[in-house]
This record gives sequence, C-alpha cells and structure tokens, in this order.
Amino acid sequence: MSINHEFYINIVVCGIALGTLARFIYLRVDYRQYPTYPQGYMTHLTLGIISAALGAFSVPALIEKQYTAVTFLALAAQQFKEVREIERASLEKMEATELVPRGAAYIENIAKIFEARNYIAMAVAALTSLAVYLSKSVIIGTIVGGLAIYLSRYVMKIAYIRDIAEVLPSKIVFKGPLLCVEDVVLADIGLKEGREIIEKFGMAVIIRPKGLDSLISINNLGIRQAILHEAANQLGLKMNIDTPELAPLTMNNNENGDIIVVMVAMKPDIDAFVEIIKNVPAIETVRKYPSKSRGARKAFN
Amino acid sequence: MEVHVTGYIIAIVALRKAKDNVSSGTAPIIYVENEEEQQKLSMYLSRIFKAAVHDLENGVFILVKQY
Repeated sequence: MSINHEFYINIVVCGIALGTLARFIYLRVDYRQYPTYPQGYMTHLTLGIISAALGAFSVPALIEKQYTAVTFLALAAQQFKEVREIERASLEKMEATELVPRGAAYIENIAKIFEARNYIAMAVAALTSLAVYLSKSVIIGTIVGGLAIYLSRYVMKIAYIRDIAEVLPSKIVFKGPLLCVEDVVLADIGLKEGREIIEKFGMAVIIRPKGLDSLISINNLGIRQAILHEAANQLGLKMNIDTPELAPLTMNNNENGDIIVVMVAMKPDIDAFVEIIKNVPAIETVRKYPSKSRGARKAFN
Repeated sequence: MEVHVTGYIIAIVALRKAKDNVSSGTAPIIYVENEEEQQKLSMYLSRIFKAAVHDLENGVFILVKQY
C-alpha cells in the first residue's frame, strides 16, 4: 500500500511538530534542572527534533512495509543512551567546582530524566503520525498528539520531599562545642568564631518521614546530598573552602528516623529554607519500597 | 576493597597545662599558653590548611582535614 506524497508530508510534519513540541515543553526553565544556558537548549532541542523525526517517519515506513525501519528505532535508543552518558559526564565534571556537590544519585537521576524526555518526544511523534494516518485529518492528529503530551506528564511525574516527608523548622543549640539539634549531635565546632556565625546565621530543619518507605528512602545519602545541594545553591552559603566548619550538614536521628539538616546561609530565612527542601525531588532511582516486602512490614509493625 | 583516607589530623593545638592529654603522633603538636591563644592559633591553622577545628574539651583542639 502506498501513501500519496502530500498525505505523507502531512503525516511526517505533524508528527515531527508535535514530538518537538513535547521536547520543548519538557525543556521549560527550571532552576533545578540543567541546562540553564542557551547552548544546552540548542543541543537538547536538536536532539528532540531528531527523535521526533525518527518517531514520525517510523509509522509511514511500517505502513509501506519497510520493516527495516524498526532497526532505526533501535539505533535511536542507542543514541539516547548516549545522551544520558553525555549528561552524566558533564555533570560529573562540574562536581569539583561545586562547593556542595550534587552527588552521584542526583546526577544519575537528572541524566535518566533527560534520556526519558527523548523517548517521550519519539513516542508522541509516532502516535501523532499514526493518528493522522488513521483519521486522515491533521487536526485530529494534532489533538491526539496534544493529548499524548498531556498524558506523558503522568509518566514523567516525579515525587518531591514534600510528598514523602514533613519538613519542620527547628533550632540549633550549642552544648559546649557540640552543635546539637533536638539532642542529636551533628558536629564539634572548635572555633568560637565559627560557633558565633552558626548561632547567628545557622538554620535547622527536621525532615520527618511520612511512612516506612520514606523512612528508608530519606536515609539514603544521595537524597540527603541532593537536599544540601539544592538548599546551598538557592540560599547561598557563608562557607568558603577555608571554613569547613560552616559546611551544611545532615544527620539522622537514630531514635525516630528523622533527618536533621543544618545550613549556614547568606540569608537565614527559615521559611524559605523549609520551602526549598520541600521542593527537592525525592530521587526516584534511590527510593526504596520496603512496605512491599512482607518481612519489612512485620519488622516495623 | 579500596581504602580511602577520608580525614586525618593535620595538627593538634593543646594548652600547656593539658600536656598530659596529648602525646606524639603523626601530627605536630603546638602548645599554647591560654585559651584565647588556642582559639587564635587554631583559627589561623584552620584557614591555612582548610581544615575543621574540633574541640575535645580537655584543652586539646584537633584540626581535621576531610577529603
């Protein structure tokens, strides 16, 4: 069966347009996700167009019995895996320049999201061109594509700290040189000068997990590092490389599983601090679900 | 298994009267006369070596560098 030229163009152009739109929407400005610079946008948009084109061309190719087109999709998957590698490599290279590094878990999470976004572009494009072909109408195809973009948000949905835990403001208390929050010792600050700065500009919050799953997840060092990175990068640190005593800290309260976060910020605004921590992504790749295990349920009940 | 050094003592700043609380090791021990001098000296060393100062509360301060 062959498709006439004009219809072919309609199918492909519609698919590419909607697929690229999907990628563009996921490229929205987000303080949290890199890229934040124009070149990064260009790179990812171009890759988005390529993946959309692959998706869009796959449908007419299959209809015309060009089954080898499937191998191109496999090639595309390989390509997107490389996107992940590139993201990971570049973020890892920048780690050394960060006062508070992102941590391996956070980097892995970002890289995976970037890979997945290309698949979304490809899937939306394929679905759109299929809809155009079946309905023989560009408008219906566009509607289906738009719906696919909307629904893809559910696939790409990520959880935040606010979904798995409560974030409560707390107070720093010094017991001699010991920095304590709620009777948990976080550090030993020897310098009087450091203690004064921490008393003046230090903030403490408690992250109280909502259930068994979040209790285990929040204890992961990767999530804790991501929290520190986000908070430090949004409120600014008093710390410098020669004042390691002002570095932000996390510690778990071994009595109830709370996580305590202490930070000495340029602007010690506790409400902002709580808000920022609530909006840190609860990294999906390191989250655990022990509530699905019978043994764990027994142990914690 | 790989073994990493995650932190080590760069220097020890001790009060002269707490001399019995420290003995020789890998780190140099610096004796000071009073607590004010101890604070000042450990602050200088902390800034030089980018190390954190920890108070052991027995007249001994240790400077620990983390990696």
